[in-house]
Amino acid sequence: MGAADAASVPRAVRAAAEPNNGLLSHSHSFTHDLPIKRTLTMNSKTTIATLLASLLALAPTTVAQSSKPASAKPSSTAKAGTKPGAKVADQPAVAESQEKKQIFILPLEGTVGIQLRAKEMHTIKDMANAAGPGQIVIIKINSNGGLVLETPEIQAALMGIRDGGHRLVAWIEKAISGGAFTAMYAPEIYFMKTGTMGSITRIAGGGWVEQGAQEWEDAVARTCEMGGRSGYVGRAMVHAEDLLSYDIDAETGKVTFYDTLEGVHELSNAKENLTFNASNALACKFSSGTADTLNDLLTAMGVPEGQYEVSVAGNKVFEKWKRTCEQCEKEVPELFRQYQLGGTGTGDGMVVLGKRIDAIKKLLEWWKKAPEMMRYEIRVPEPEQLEQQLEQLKYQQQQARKQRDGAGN
Amino acid sequence: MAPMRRITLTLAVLALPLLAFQAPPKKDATKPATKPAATKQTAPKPVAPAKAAAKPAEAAPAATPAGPRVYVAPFKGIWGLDIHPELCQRFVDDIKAKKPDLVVFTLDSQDLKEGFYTAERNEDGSGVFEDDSQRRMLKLLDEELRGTPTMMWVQDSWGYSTLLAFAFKDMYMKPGARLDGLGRVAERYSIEDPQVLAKFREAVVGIANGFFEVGGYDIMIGRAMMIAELKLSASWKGRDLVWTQDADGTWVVDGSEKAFAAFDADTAEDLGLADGSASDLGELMFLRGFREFQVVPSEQDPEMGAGERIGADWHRAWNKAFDTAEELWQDARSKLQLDAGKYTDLAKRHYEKIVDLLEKNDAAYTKWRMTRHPDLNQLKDQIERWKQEQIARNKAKKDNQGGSGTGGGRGRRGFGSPGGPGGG
Repeated sequence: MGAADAASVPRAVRAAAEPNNGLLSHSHSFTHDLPIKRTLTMNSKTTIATLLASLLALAPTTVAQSSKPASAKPSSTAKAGTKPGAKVADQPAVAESQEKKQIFILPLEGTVGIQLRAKEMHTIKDMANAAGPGQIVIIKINSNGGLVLETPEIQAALMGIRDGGHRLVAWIEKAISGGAFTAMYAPEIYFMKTGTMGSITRIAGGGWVEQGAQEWEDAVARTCEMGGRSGYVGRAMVHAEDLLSYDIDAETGKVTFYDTLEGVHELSNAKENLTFNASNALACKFSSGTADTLNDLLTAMGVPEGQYEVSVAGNKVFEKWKRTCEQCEKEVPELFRQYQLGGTGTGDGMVVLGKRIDAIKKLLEWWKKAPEMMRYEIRVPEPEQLEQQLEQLKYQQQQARKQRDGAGN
Repeated sequence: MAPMRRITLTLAVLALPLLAFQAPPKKDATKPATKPAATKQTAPKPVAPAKAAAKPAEAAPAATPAGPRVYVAPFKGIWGLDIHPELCQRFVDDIKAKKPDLVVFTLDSQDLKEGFYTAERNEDGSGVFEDDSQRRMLKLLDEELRGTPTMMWVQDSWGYSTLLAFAFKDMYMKPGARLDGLGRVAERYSIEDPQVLAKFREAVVGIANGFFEVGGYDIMIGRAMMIAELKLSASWKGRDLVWTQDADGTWVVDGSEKAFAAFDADTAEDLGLADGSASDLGELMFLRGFREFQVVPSEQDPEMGAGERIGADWHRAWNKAFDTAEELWQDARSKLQLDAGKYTDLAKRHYEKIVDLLEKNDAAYTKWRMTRHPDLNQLKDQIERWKQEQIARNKAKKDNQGGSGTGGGRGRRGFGSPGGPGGG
């Protein structure tokens, strides 16, 4: 089993996976989940060292390549006269005409590593690459964070988008913890008015993870720099004792961040963990602008009229996985119910065995379709355990059949 | 030409009083740095304009309704239950259909009420914070109603509901109303570990501050209202009010490190958070420059305002769903205690109805969970158990009726295939 935060498991089927006299059992909780119910956690099997190694392995290439500007940064305000002329395309980008470039909008919602996966980012990267360099990819983030395990793949996907010569933009609805980490890869970040971003402290089981804390902070700072921002900002989002303030040059408008409180504008003192809102992110130019609707965003981004069209491909990719997750959350508890109780009323052992075998087979199918949901969200026993259980049940069925046939003779 | 000119002039003169009534004074969009003069003068109350407006049928048939069409949408009751995104969606849909000139949202919600001696917890329950759905509510109000003038009129607010008040640029209050109780947000980050505390506190406060951002209020105000350790004061720099997270300003709102900042109607008005205070809708409209107005009536019940009716229907519907579920639950429990064998079928039917009611009504289900009932999955488990028991009973009954033929027994065990009449 992975080590998703215990507090992060929702009400659905919290301990459905616990064996109980050979049966899978259900248990439920009356408690309400915390708003930040899923946070960056560390799999016990995955050491911090291996995680950081995988991050660092990617870093040199990406840093080097990120020095090539994928796109010019626009000003913080919408450019006058540059109306968003992008039209919404009905078909995925690959089917579009080659004349106009595409704007892919990929909603990223839910727990990082479960509902919010690198896989969808890779899909969009491939679509953008197929359409040629110069496409725009907007990742619209609404997440309370999630699993640290997903970060190397997220980095590979998002830096892959940038390396493909596309313009990567993060649009923040809510980017807490792993959600903020994901957004950091984008050279341009825009906030919705309700947008929040920060709180990247790594925790497990509701507590702070001291081991490897400094390495984690360094990794976040580097990610921040990959997005073209001061690493101090990332550090202040990780640990409370990291300070952050800034000055703005009155003539040039250039922002200088300090890891002390010497700047005129204080962002994070020794007791706080930096989390931006739309206004203070804009004031220190961490955010490139504030936009609530797509039209507002495209205007703020200065997308020139007539040269781009909005593709629905990103939404389709997101919706497909979202539906799978919802279906999984609904069906798996039913399968547990079937496993526990199915056929018991008949008093016929063969019927009961048949129901259980059927339930396990369907659970194994779900493992293929949505392993993240099964492992971290619903916490179903690992496929190997289920396979083992299936074999036992089949054996029992065989024995029962033999017994019945023997009795019949 | 002369008669023509005379007619034009006559029309223009006739139109003057109409224009005087209809054109509201241009309102400065920026927050006043000083007390708005208009709010302090005791405005002569118009003669029951709201009542007259609510009964359009009684008006002279030929008279054109005077003043703007005002849609009043009341948010009243417990945050997260009575004040719910679904209700918000209904208001928004109705407002878009009716296209009023002005929308007045009212807010009346208290987790804590002023008792005889001291503050008392609201017996009806206390607010529930679910940030994703409540931010959706905010987006509905902000984005879906873009282009429609909206304002908030706070009757009284103590608890999470206060966030909603701050999501409006135009805010008015009732005399004696409070903007208080955001200390409840601290319940969401009450953790010992200082690193985790800082992470959760800043995340939750940041999310909640989204409401202040939408209304255009300084997030320092929100932080001081949600974090006890933070102080809050304000100073004037010219016409601008500057907020600081300390007690060094001209006007100290919260100089303590142990209390959450809060505002009463007077302070909110003095510091330019509220645009004024009004005891009734007539006075509120007068402050906005309207001597006359008409409340958009409900189609089903013209005696009521459209929003008032939607609010009342919503409140009634979810409470009915919860009360029915609770009655069924209690009935099932008492009957099972009386004679579990006899009443199992009834209890099963009750549970099925409860599941159906709660799956269709999120507010009822939220209250159901708040009041320590089994969740939907537990109810479904029990239903399935009873279902299997029922199957077992039916089988036993059938076996008893059909004698003890062994052939039947064997037939029924064949991979779910029915035993068939021969087996009986």
